[in-house]
Amino acid sequence: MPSSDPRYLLLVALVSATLPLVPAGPLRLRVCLAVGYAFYALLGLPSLLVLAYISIVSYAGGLWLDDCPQGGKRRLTLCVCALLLPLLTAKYAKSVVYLLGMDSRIAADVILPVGLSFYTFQALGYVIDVYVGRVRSERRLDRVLAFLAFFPQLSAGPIERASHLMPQFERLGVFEESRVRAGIRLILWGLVLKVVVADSLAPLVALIYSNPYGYGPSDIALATLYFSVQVYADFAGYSAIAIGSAKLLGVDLVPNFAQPYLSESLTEFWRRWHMSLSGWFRDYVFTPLHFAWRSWGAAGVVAALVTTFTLIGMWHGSTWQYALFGLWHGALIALGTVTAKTRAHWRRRLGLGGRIGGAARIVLTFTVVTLTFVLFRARDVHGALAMYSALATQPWHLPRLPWHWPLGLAMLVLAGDLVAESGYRFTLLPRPVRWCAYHAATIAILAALFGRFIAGAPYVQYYIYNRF
Amino acid sequence: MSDFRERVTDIFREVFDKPALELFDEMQAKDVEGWDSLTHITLIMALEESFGVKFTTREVMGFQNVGEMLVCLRGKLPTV
Repeated sequence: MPSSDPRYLLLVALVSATLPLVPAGPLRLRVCLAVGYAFYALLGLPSLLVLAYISIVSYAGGLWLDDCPQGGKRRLTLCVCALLLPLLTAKYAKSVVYLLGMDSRIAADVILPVGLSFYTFQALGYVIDVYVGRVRSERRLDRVLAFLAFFPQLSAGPIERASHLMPQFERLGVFEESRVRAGIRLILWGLVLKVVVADSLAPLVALIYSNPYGYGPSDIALATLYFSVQVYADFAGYSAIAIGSAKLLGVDLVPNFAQPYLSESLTEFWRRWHMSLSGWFRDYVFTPLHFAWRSWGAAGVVAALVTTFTLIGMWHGSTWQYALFGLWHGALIALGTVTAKTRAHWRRRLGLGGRIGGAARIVLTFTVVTLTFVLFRARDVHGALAMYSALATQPWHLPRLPWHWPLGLAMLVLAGDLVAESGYRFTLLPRPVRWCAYHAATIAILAALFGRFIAGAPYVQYYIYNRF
Repeated sequence: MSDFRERVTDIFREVFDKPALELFDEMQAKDVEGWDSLTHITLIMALEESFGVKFTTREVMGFQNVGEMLVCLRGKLPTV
């Protein structure tokens, strides 16, 4: 059940209203845990068992690692392997069977439980944090179970750290008006992003990308631009709903997006895009790799960056297009890193450090990211190459895709980001203006849902990141 | 300020190019402009070189603030 489904919103309302009635303490936590497991059980028993397995391995692994303050590398390796096993099997078994030329029926029944890669990474973060001494192992099983089954962020993050989420369990169900108001506002904005923006653009993108050889460069360029908006609105919308839902329960989740399309470089883009994942890779992959290869100088930095970003790409899926997507980002970021001082020097000398230079860098970064999204969205590498080839070689004509309302939606997202970037707080607006915005948002969401219902289209769509 | 702390402060100032930087035990990366994952390793390398010690991956990943870093570093130095 995606979080834009009215039934999910009903569940959040019900849980946030009844949780304060449950006596504070372990019982309240266990009720929240039970809701998480009931929510996840809707996906079927195998998925539920995988979640339970990851949780129990994390709990036992944490205690085991805490038990050996010195050494413990083998124990950590064993824990990491045990935690990665379901994810690697679910994501890569079919590809391995295909590559080895084995009977495809062997892996035909392998499923990827929704959210597996997210809570596996959260669990890995926990055991690694215990190993390096950032957190003490948790003695209470229910707290570890609840940490990995907190239902607002169970299906696609944000990927939390034990040191951030677990201490907040004491606050579960504690009513604070300001936090509840902020939560409702976030849910509303998240629904606008998902239902009004992302789900409206999705059919246009799908039309072009399902037939990569059938359209000219202007349609491909427009569809790719729409996909940039769609994937951002989809995941930032999901994240806003998740963070907003958690706030209704008294918990602050980590932010996942910070206006990424206003970044002046790819490095900055990854500090603002899917921040909980990029931060995870920074702390648990890049830092140890860079540290291990520190004697190599610049080559060590380049190798660590390229490896990390290729792994980030592969995290999205087992096909080559994702690895290439990550490799492309890694190579450009590595190039940007080793040339950073030279570029800064020339920027100063040529006077490109001002606002116009900054705006040009934002446009350039967005263009590069959007170009890499062709690989990300295409059916496969061949489809992506066909589209790149069309963009570079075919004559440009007027597009067949509509452009006025999709660009209007893109402007809406951009306006939201510019306001957030300026630091202006929505709550500072006069009350009537705020309520006009709330009504407009609600009407837009209902109109989009009703329009899809009339058209016979599915009124609720899964998030793009649910399949990762 | 002890010699040890003064020496570490000088290394921080040089790595982050902030001549007036003052250290405090609770200081974290977010408190110092320019302290990112790249400069973090540069800082670690500068400390290793200056004090002639080696950190382990576990130690580097476990530092939560400057205080913990200094305690770890001091623990590696020969006691006088």
